[in-house]
Amino acid sequence: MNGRRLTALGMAALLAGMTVFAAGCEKGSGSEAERAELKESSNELVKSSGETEAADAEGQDDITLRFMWWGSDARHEATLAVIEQYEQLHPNVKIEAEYGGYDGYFEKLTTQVSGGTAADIVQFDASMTRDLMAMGEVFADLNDYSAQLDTSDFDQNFLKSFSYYDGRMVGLPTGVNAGIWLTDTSVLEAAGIKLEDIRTWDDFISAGETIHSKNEEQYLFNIDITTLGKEGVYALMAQITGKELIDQDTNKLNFAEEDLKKVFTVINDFYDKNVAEPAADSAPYDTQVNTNPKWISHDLGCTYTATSNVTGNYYDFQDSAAAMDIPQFADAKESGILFRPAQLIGVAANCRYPEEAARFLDYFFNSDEAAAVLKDCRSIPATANGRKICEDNGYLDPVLAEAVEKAQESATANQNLSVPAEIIEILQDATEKIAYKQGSIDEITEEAMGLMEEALERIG
Amino acid sequence: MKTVREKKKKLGRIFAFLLVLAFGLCMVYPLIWMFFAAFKTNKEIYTGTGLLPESFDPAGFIKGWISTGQYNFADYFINTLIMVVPTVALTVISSTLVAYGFARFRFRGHKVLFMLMMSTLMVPSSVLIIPRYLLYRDLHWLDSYMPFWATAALGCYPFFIYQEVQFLRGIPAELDEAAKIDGCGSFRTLVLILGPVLKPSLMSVCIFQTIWTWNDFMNPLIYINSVSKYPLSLALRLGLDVASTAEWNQIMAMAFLSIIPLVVMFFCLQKYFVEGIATSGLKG
Amino acid sequence: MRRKKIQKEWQGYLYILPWILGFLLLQLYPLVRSFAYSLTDIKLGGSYQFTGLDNYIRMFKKDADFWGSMGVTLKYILMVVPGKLVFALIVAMILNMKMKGIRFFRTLYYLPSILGGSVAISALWRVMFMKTGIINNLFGISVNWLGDPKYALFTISLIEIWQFGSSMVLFFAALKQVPADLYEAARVDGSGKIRMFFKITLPMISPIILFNIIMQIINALQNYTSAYVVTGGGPIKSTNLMGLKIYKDAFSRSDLGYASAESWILFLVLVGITGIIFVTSKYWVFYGDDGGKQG
Repeated sequence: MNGRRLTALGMAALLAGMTVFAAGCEKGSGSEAERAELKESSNELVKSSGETEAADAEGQDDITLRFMWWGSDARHEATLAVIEQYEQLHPNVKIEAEYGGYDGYFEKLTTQVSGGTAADIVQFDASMTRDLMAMGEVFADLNDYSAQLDTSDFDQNFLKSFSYYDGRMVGLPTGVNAGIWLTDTSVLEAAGIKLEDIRTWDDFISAGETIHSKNEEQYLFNIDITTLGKEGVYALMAQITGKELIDQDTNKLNFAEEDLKKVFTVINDFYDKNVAEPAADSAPYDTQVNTNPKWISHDLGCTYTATSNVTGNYYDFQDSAAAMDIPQFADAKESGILFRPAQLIGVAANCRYPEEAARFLDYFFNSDEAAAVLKDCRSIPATANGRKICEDNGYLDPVLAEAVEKAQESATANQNLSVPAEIIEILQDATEKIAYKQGSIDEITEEAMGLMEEALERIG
Repeated sequence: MKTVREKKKKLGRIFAFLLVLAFGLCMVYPLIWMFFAAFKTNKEIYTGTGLLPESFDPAGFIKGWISTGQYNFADYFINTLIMVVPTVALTVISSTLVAYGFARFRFRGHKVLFMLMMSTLMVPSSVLIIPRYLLYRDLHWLDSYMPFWATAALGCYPFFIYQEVQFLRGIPAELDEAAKIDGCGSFRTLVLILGPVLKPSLMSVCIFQTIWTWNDFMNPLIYINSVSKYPLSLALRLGLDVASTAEWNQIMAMAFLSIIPLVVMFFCLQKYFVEGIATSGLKG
Repeated sequence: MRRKKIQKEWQGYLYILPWILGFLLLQLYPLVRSFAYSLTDIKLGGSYQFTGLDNYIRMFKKDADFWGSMGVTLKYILMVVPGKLVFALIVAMILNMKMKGIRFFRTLYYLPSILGGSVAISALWRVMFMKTGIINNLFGISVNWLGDPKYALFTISLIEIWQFGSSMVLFFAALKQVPADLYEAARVDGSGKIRMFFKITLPMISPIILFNIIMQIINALQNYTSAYVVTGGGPIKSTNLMGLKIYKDAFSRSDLGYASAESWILFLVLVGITGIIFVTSKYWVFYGDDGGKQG
């Protein structure tokens, strides 16, 4: 007896000690002032939320929904603000935000889905749909909740192309996303190059050579291996073949070794001829090219990204910004320019309150207040009303609007939405090898072809 | 003759002292730099060579602490404590019990079992991580701290058990036999008689488990999904990931705060550190 | 008498019960399952099939990255383990010269060991070793510590080597236990310092060297947080440690079966390396009694 009491005492002492210790730490960090500040701001929020509604909601059960997305700080802030608005209108609903960067998002999502711990409301990429739905009925059919969620304001063709899987509406497009060749014309002009002069890949490469030869610190192309090896290869390949990378029916490669070699030759020129900053220098900014100090100091001419990525302070040369036309091969079969939903947002099939989730999405997509806060943080809104609000208030970055317009006109039909992750990885690895000059183009091409064929055969 | 030799010796010592001091400063320089970097602008970090910032603007700490959105670093600190404290307590309890069993009792298969326990030290975590993940999934333990608590409660830290066994072996058996003659049960003997003697060893288990769990990144990365449950390690990585302009002062500020508790603990309890390492390593 | 013995045996089992449960549930069972998974094409979610040795064949024949990662891992161990031990031994020997402020220095040198595994330090490394970072600025050089495949692994290794404190404390304690009369006798014989180091010091602390080597190898194989956070395995996979590759194959490609197979080969390699070290240790480790005879 005595012994047990002693153990208990010991445990309690230990825990107490740890807590005191912990409290000490927090004090030590000088958080008190901030705490107070936070408390104050949250009090304000409570005050401003309608007291009448609070009374209204008393009878209802408390509902917690988890909403997961990826993005940059600007997108997080906007999305969190919408969540706050919604929680004030519906005091019984709490929406837990789960957000992070894009890096590692997909692996997190798949592990969550397999573990049954996925969020209730999930942002995902259109290219993830196939892999996710292969894991089971991951997303609810949003058509089942048409009473709560109105989808009439979306471009119906857009919905048809991207929102459906196996006849089920698995997600709604957050925005209209286009590939953008965001250019700082002042860097080009300093080297005597006009934007209109760049039409073909040869033009692009020689412009890059000129810029670097005029100023050793400068490069034309701010690009990372991850993007170049995926979206870059997609665009180049679509221009050559006019087809998807992988044939949907036969599950075989839709291009020949020669075609891949042609793609890799262009990529090789980027690095060989100093069109792009050496890979070793740009590697630390992979998937975050806008954080490259050279980009911030205006020593890089242009980047290729998706409009949905261009949020917040992605670039600061508003006066000299332009959307370059995507360079093309002289005999290009199509533009290869990316045009698809920025992301999709769906409701998990095992969500406990699907109606509530649908109601939140209705607010997220259709309310004026949400549109005014979200602005273009997920590219240009996919709803007519959202777009109008952005346009009327001048929320849209004109360069982004221009890029979307251009893409809308000439977009490729082949958006490569169901390329297996492993194939993408092989292409990115090969791109990286070229950038680091780890072998001849012939060798790298041959190896990549072999790996892709093996992978496709294994995946089946 | 003698004085010259002594002088030489003394000079040698002074030289060695300075060498050790200089080298020691190099060792902790990164940590000192981290603190001051929390006050620097990106430009200073990119171009500066000095240690001190141009001004002591606490914005990095304030903005970094609030971070983006619903959760701030107070939440992440609390989460870390919820993860760490029970894990440490359970580790201490379970490894003491198991060590006591191994050190003071003879039973069939004693040797084999002890060998088995020691051999689990060799199993790389990579081998266990996948089946454990699937096991926790089936037990619905994902996105909770159960994986951490359970491994601690079930004595899955052979290193600590070994350390305590070594320590117990160093305590003369007469001590507990005398207690037994007085009518003490084995559990009471452990708690009342051996407990106080074991204190240094228990402290070092506490300390090391706190450090390991506090710093753990890969396990939370796999098992914890909700930002609301993120410990500091994941929160820091989130900050690295998300920052659209990579505001290094905020990242450095939070990185610095996240290690402060460990540093404070280290300075307060350092004698146990050394004892712990020395007993586990040397008496074997 | 006999009854008492049985009772005691029963008690012994009771005390080690937590570990027995933990061993069965969290060590042995996962180990067996992991091997079973390695013979299948199990993914995250969905059904799976028995595929025999396919994963192992793929690893050895088709996955060049597997061998790449193995090479990176071995290189990493060859940099980290000797680097750490040499620093640890040198500093421990200097501290053993009975100088003032030993406790202070021990603290100073030990500090990195308690922090090195944290994301905070990985973040710090990312800032310090940028091309425009403090390291390059201080030395007036322009090395691509993280972007150049020649240096990236070295930069990662530095984090680990920086944490030589725990090995140092072990060496320090071991050095103190070397009997002073051994040195005295050698001095009478006219041995120089270097000779004494190789003839007395090294043999006397060789058990601790062995212990340190084994622990550091295990440690180096387990720890890939810094590679994950600082470089993510790049550039061109030059820091793609085996542990990191297994993690990525398992959780980003959701290729659990294949990753399990890889982890088993890693396990076997670890057992092989430590086995070789143990076997050869007969020739260079002197345990107390033998050491006495030698001396």
